[in-house]
Amino acid sequence: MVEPALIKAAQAGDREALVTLLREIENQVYRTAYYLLNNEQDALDASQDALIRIYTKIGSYEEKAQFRTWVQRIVTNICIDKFRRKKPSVSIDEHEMVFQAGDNVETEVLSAYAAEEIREAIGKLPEHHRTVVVLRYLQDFSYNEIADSLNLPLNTVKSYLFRARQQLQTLLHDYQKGGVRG
Amino acid sequence: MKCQEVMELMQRYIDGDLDQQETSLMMEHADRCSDCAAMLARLRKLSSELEQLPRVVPKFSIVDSILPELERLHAAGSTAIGAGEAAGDSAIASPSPSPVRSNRPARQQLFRKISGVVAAGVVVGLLLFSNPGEWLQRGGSSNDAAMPSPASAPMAKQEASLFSASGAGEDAQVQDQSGDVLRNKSATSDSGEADLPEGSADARNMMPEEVEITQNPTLTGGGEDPAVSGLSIPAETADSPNDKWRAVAVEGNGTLQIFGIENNELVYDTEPKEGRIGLLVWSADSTVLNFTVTGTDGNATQWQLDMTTFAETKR
Repeated sequence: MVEPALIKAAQAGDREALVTLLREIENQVYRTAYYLLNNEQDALDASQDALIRIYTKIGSYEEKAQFRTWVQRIVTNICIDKFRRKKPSVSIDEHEMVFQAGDNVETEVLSAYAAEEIREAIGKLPEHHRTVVVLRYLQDFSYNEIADSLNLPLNTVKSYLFRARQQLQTLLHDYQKGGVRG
Repeated sequence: MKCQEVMELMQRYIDGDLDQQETSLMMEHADRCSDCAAMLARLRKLSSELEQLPRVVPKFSIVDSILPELERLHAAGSTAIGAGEAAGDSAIASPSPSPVRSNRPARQQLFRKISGVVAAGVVVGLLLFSNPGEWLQRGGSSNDAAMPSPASAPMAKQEASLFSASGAGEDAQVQDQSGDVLRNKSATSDSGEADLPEGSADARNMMPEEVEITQNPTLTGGGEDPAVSGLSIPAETADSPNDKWRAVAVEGNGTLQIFGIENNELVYDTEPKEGRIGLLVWSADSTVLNFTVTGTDGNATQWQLDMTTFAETKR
């Protein structure tokens, strides 16, 4: 949670505060970009774009919105632009996951395995479904926060999320039936 | 209750959106309907897997990687008024100022100042050393505008308070000599001299057309002249391991300048230090430049310049 005082200082032109603020949100920006774009390099590019945009647009942020939904709106818009410009093919390239310090190595290896499949399945979802899932599970947003971020009606958010979960469930269920999963 | 309706309840249940009554309704149905019970189990499993997706973090600091860009945006923004004035000035001096450069008056002024200072250094360097070619090369590679021409000699004198103790005759001699010596072939002079705001006429006069380095034997011997102490001459250079930057320690005014090797643009100019800067050592990853400042009392202090933040700190 970014301190309101820090946001105020950044908006008032305190450049150091603004850079500190960017550092605080950098990981959450990257996480969304990573799961939306399914590619580390694209995620880094999109995160850079998003942080620069936040840097230049900080003055336009209004307190009536939550800061983190405002940030996620910026990063999701950039990512949606990016994957619209790209071919619809999903690239799942092998690359190392960077983990936050976890408690159990074995669990992490197992969960990384499952995570890979889930990430792949998320990548097959239509863009809005994908975005809703990422905000719900990677940013722990409520229906309302997702609606604010994406500028969508609450019911639309719910229907996207429910359909996304059904699709994911089907995709992963097929996987299981195919014997890929244990 | 239909399975389709229960599906919605199950979905909301997953998100913790059901009240007591709705939960009971859903559970009652699931008790009787094995399909819905199985679906609920799968949805819960899926949801917990989604919750456990790794919180990936970038492998380097993204903010660090955009700091130079933020710096540029900041400079462009905070000097917007100054830029307007500068553009007005340069419109007189130059019919078509480049928009990018006119946004950076601070850099231009610095650049102009350095042009003069370095040019002065180069001119005198020629008088001082038997092998002036080396100095010229350094001056030239660090800053194209530093290439002197005959016209630059008076300006050099003016800006760096050269030859303060010398007579007028000697001044004239210096000018003559530099005129003879500096038939330099200039490297590409794309350093934006055309749109320097004020005093840009001077700066452009300094741009040589064709100058070639010749070694003039009559120049040797004057090296100990006390009148030329306190000059700004490039003392030491060091290129970064990634070939991106060239650090130039400027003797006399005690600053350290960083130039982009590719475009010869001044990237950073340190605060003047009390003493002589030397022992320039880059870190292997080119992110930090270490240097030593030796004061007039002989005491040396270790400094480092962080190339990502341009922070100068004593070690």
